[in-house]
Amino acid sequence: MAAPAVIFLAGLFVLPVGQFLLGSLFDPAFTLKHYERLAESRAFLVVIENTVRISATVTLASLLLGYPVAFRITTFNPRLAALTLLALVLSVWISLLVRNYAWMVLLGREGLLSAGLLRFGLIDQKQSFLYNEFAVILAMTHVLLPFMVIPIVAAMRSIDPSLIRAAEGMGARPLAVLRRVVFPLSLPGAATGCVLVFILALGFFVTPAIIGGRGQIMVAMLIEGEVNEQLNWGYAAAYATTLLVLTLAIFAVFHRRFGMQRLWGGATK
Amino acid sequence: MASSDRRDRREFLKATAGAVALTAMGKAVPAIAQSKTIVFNDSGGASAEAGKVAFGDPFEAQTGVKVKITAPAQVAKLKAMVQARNVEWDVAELVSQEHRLAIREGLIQKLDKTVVDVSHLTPDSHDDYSVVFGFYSTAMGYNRQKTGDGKRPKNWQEFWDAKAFPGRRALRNHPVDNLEFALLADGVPADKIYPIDLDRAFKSLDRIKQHVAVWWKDGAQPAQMLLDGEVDFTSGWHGRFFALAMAGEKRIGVEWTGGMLKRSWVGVPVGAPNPKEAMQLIALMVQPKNSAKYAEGISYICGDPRAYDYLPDKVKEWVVTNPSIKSRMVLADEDWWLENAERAQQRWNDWIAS
Amino acid sequence: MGRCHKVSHVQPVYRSFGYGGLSAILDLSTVLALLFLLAPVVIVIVISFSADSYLQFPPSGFSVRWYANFFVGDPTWVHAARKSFVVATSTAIIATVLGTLVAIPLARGGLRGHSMIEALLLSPLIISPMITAVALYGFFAGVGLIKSIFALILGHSILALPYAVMNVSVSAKALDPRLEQAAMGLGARPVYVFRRVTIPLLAPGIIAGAFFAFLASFDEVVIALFLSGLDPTLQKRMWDDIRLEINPTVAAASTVLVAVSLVAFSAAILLQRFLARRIAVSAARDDS
Repeated sequence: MAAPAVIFLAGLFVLPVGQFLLGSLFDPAFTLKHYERLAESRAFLVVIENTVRISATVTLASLLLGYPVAFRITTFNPRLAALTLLALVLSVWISLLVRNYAWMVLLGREGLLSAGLLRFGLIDQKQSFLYNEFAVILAMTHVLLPFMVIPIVAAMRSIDPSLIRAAEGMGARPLAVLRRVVFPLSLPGAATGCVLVFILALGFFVTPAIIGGRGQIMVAMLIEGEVNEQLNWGYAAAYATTLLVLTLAIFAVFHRRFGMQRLWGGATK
Repeated sequence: MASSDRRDRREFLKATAGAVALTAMGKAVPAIAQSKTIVFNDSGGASAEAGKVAFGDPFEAQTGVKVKITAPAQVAKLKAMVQARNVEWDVAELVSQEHRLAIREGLIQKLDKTVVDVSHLTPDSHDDYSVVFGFYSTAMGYNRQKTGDGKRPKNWQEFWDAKAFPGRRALRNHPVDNLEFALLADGVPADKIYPIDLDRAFKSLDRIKQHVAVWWKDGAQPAQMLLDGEVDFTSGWHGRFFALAMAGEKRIGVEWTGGMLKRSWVGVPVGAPNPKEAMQLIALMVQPKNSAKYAEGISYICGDPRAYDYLPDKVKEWVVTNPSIKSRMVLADEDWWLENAERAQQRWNDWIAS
Repeated sequence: MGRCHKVSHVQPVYRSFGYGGLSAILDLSTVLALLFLLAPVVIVIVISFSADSYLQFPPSGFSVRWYANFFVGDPTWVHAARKSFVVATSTAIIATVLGTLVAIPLARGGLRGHSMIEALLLSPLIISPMITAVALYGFFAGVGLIKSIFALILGHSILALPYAVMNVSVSAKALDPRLEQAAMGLGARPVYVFRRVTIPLLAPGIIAGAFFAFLASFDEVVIALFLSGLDPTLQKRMWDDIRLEINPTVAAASTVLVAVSLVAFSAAILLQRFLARRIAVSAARDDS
């Protein structure tokens, strides 16, 4: 029964991707020229740096904003919790283009942020907040926040109530219970969220392409440029392979420590 | 119990099947009823709109064949299609040196000169495989409201001078045109630009790098940024500025001095599904009246001098074949770019990322 | 199974804070987060009614001309919407069917190559959509399918499959195997049991899976950029417009998108409720 899905993915996904990535080594005969060029490329190093730096910052921002939110959600009554989680999940499906269009409006020189800061005297002339790291971090966090919140909520919800009762029974004050029971037990959830957000951030294309500046060029953009403008599939595949290796490395570390079942959003046991 | 369930479920299944069938039919019917359609792949946006009015509709009126306009123009995609022997386009726009690349790679067919009349076209606007359907340019745009005449750069040397001419700047995130601008800013005379000295160009670019607020990528960005105040001066494809100016937008001004005069070509891909009609469409595109109509939409015109005479005066001020404009511009050297595009791009990528 | 307990057990800890810095921070961050998430959507909806022909906020006046342009003025928009709809529906069907078929044995456990299959199912999410898009583009071009709508449908199905599996899994994990065993013990054949017991019980998860698969396709940009062929999807059309044009028709298109998502969501919820009621009714009516 599981066969159709497996065959489908193997044939239509694994095969094409594998074919594409192999093109970095076989163009058409075996060659290392693409990787040699990659190793010498200053631009590539900078772009990898950009990609990792931006992904890490987004992960941190999502964690800082998402953790308190996740905690608050677990303390809601079931109805409100369900509603909030729903709002969160639905926001995932707001198209990237809709969001970026909104950011272009909000962050531009004549936009809302500029006008607001001017009004409150925080800046002395209208300013643009577009085409820079701030805009990209903001926009990407906006997309990935739900992916941080939901695993943390799942982890907090699966904390055994008897542990809390036991702690309270032994006279621990609320803050201590939080610190010593809830927080440590929520860490796997936080780790899941971080890994998910980081991995998803690594592969981003649309957001940095539309509202990023030259300091926010990410690897996916290089792949697209190589294929669409330079016609160089082999070199694009070299970019892609590097990105993939990076992603899989992080994923492997996570899996070893926590197990990949945790990534099945919410259905953890 | 079971029977009523079965009935309900049968109803549900029937409804679903019906819906699916309707959807499928809905797609099939138009396909049956349609007359012939050919595909013209173009840069899109204002160009596509102008193309529909000037070429697509008249062609359909004349021949009964519909013209479907798709975007964007990408020689990479053309190459992929030709190699896979699965060509979707009948007429392909080829921008600047991409058209030389297409010829070199054998991606477009020889023109059928019995159908396409090139006798009136200037020599720099046609060859054996393609014709220019749009002379365009990369020029300097500025926001009229924000900068009076005295305070805006009037050539690229002044654009490079951020102290004398303060203001937010934008340039394209691409070596094309920027290398030429960099050399002009460095004092190289227009006739000595090619072959481009890459080292000198990038050294010149180093001087302006910190002053560029935005490195634009898309055709619509320069005009948008001027309008919403994101930048004060920018390079841009002048047709986009023109379209806004014609729509009554008075805030955008264009400085033609030092602009790059460029050509956009059309050809028929090898293996195009409808080569006969494709040639006919190309023939139409260089008809003076049609070309003038296209220019009214986006100010890009073909190489037939007669087309110029069909233009209303206000459009004449924007068309680069206008002698007073052409004399201030530099003609882009497609051959140099054909040979050096990859090297320049590699260097640009390294430069822009650091 | 004690789901209510799982929520409220943390509450006593929280409630005993009363007022104070921590609860204020928590509430503030939650409100901020929700505003943060919703604000852009609101902005876009406002812009879609703007009378200006470029991006300006707040707009100088209001008008419905961009909706007019979307629905009537420029026929390419409606064509694009229609294509998106067809692709998304087909994707939902394929992803849900395949996803259900794999989620059930996966949830039951004991499947050979269990972790490999899970990894395989996760991979479309982990791998950058750009890599998938480019790889599929090369692949389909090679087999000559690049002009066909199937290329896009298959591409989106790959992306949607993990979401379908995830949702059906939730229901499948909660499914008590004794229900099926009981039915079979009463003499029903496995196929019948599957149809009349398993699937109806999984219905909420299947519907949720179909819904997410639909949205995954409808809102997808990157794969559509490469596999749209001659007819763009709504997302590809919006992408082209953001790059090549500057009028707010994109905003009107976006609002329509959000509206469609809400409609799909309501449909999914209603369907779930409808089916749940029907199962309850037929269970009540069951004699044996």
